[in-house]
Amino acid sequence: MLPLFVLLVGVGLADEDSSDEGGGDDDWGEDDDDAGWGDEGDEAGFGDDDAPPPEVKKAQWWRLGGTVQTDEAWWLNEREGPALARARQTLDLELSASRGPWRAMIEGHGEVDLAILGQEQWDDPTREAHGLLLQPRQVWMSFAAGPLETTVGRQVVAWGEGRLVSVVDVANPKDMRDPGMVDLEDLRLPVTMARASLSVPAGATGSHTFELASILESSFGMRSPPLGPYGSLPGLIESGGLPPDMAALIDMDEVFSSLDVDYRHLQDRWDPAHTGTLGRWTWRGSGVDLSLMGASVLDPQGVFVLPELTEILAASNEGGALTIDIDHRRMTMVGHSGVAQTPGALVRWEVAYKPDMPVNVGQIIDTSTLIPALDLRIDETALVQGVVGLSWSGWGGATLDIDLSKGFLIDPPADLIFPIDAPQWGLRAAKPLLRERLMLDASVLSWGWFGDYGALARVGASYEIANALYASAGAIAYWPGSERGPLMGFDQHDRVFTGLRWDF
Amino acid sequence: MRLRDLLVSFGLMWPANALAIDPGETDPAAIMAAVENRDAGDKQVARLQITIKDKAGRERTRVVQSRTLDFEGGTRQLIIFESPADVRNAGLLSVDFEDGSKSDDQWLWLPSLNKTTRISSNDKSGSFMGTDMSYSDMTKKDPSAYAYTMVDANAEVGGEACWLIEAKPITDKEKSETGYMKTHMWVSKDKLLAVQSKAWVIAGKRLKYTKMTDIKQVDGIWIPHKLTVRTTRDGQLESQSILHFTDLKLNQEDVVEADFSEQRLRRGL
Repeated sequence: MLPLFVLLVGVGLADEDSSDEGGGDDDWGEDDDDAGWGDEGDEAGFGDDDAPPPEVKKAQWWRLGGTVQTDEAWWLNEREGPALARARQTLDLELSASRGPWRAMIEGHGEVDLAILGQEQWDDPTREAHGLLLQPRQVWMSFAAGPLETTVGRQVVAWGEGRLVSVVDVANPKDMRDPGMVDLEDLRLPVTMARASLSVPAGATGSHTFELASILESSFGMRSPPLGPYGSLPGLIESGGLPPDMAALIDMDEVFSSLDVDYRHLQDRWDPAHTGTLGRWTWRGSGVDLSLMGASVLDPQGVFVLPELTEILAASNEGGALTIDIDHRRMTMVGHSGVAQTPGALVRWEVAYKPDMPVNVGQIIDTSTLIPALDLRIDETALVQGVVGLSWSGWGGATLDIDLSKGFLIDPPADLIFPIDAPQWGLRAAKPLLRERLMLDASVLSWGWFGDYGALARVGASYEIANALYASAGAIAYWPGSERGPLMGFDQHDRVFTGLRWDF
Repeated sequence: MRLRDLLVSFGLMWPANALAIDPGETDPAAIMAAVENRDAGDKQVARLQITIKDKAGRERTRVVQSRTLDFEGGTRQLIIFESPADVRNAGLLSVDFEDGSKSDDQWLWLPSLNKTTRISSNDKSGSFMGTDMSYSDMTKKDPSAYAYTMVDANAEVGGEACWLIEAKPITDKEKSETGYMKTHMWVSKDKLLAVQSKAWVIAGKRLKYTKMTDIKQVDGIWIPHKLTVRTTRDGQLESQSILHFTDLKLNQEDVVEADFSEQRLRRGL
């Protein structure tokens, strides 16, 4: 990964915008150098004044478009099985229409990953989650009556000012199958909602927006199955620490290798009792935006309900299937977000108070009993989380985003399994080159100040070959950390990747 | 950032019947003050096709629609991308204040993110939509931040009598924001608008040539409908951008305050 990063930075330093600053007034060469005007009638266009303006088709009231994409990735670490980590082919189709106050959108998504589908080293749940996917995405209809707009259907509502970390963005489930691999825009998944928003002017240039939404569908996004390429269950159980005499007898890798393990969400998808409610007020004024929001929703992350260790061992002996339940209990969130323009940068922030946050507590493996057992229980705690961020732009369109988040537990249970109050920070830098044809970016995410709970780093480059046709390449590396965190077990997951995407 | 000020800043818009400068005038500061402070019309709608060519001749195109409305102390503008497909319906809502000490407000709507995001308006020397134009090219200039010199009071461009005026920023802020060491402008004596300009770009010691053509009157105001901008370095063409204004109209009654809301930004085309 390092050589690629150096290469990318090297290209950036050699860019047009960074060199030869200052100097004398007249050392651009000949002051009367008029080569730039071109010749009459030349292809630069300075001489073709009689050429008619280009024909531009008028936008239609409906449109069919989409995206075709191919993504490939290769493992960098030595591991069993093929080096090909991903060979995902994706097709998204979108039919949109807009007529008067009415708008509608129908999106469909299909993907097949040839590195997973039909590959025997993965269990059935993994092949199903990563191998082949056909899904409706946004499907909604909207009607605007003056400043009031209502939208019903599968849609996305994005909250907060965090660019890399957010503590108030609770409306939509996310696709977390490949941590760090997908762009932010691809993470949020639409969910069925009824939403109304009202915008009214505030002063000469500002506006208030009031938004109410009801989430009608209990959808919890996608995550890599427990034994999938990015599943963390084996790492979690191993982190519990079997006693040495047990560890000598039980090889957890061996146990899991003969199992099909899948997650099951305990809440029904269409149960009216699970309806979520969201409300937000936003004020956009001169130099500052402020929001207040509240939500009562099912915990999108969920808490684990693990089977007994003896059940796991029995299922393994039988070569059967095992289900890990995830309980998404109702939680409340009251939050605030804001962004202010300063002379040097945008300052962003978020604050959230979650008084009844469900959490896993216990010891994972309880060795105090005669027969060691998994001891993973569910409790709740009050949690205050904050995010502070800075966004800077300059140096020929380069951007730098830094987000820092920290949680504070109020009267927490004694034996929390996951450090939900741990600090998290992210940094992302991007630099356009070649008139924005080439975009370089690098990002780092860390759980804990120094990656104690895991960290990842990614570098990438994207090049626009022609209108809306992009080629990309990059690399990503993981550090699982010394403490229990979201990247547990990610010690053989570094990858290089390439992609080709065409929007039409 | 205002598409209209793209025209204004080059002295491209001026009421044809309201020339306040004698063609014999030789004071460059007086000429440029008149160019910068003219009435540019209000309630504008426009469609802009942008073609960006690199030195190998490879082209990329962008099409945007815009609406502009003045308020006391500034201008609001809504820009919606029509093409290419990957940015279709992306929108930019901006509030530009005439008071230079006040930061402009800009919000970006990206349909792929489903999110309205405030973006920084500080970086004015960056490229506008990947073109050879910078954001600074699209804002009104403060004449007091420049030293003007009359290079040639009897210049000609395509047979049209012009003043050739050199504008040199005298403040570090202006130099930093524009990125230019100096600019030469050929201002038409007949239309009182710059028909071409040449800028000395500090970064990379480039030269930027801009030429305005297809100049027509819209509601009595001269407006060039085509801008060609070429960037050269060491005499070699590096890139060029051609901006075509189509369907450009002024004083449109259906341009109202409600067009410049977050809701309108989200609704797109």
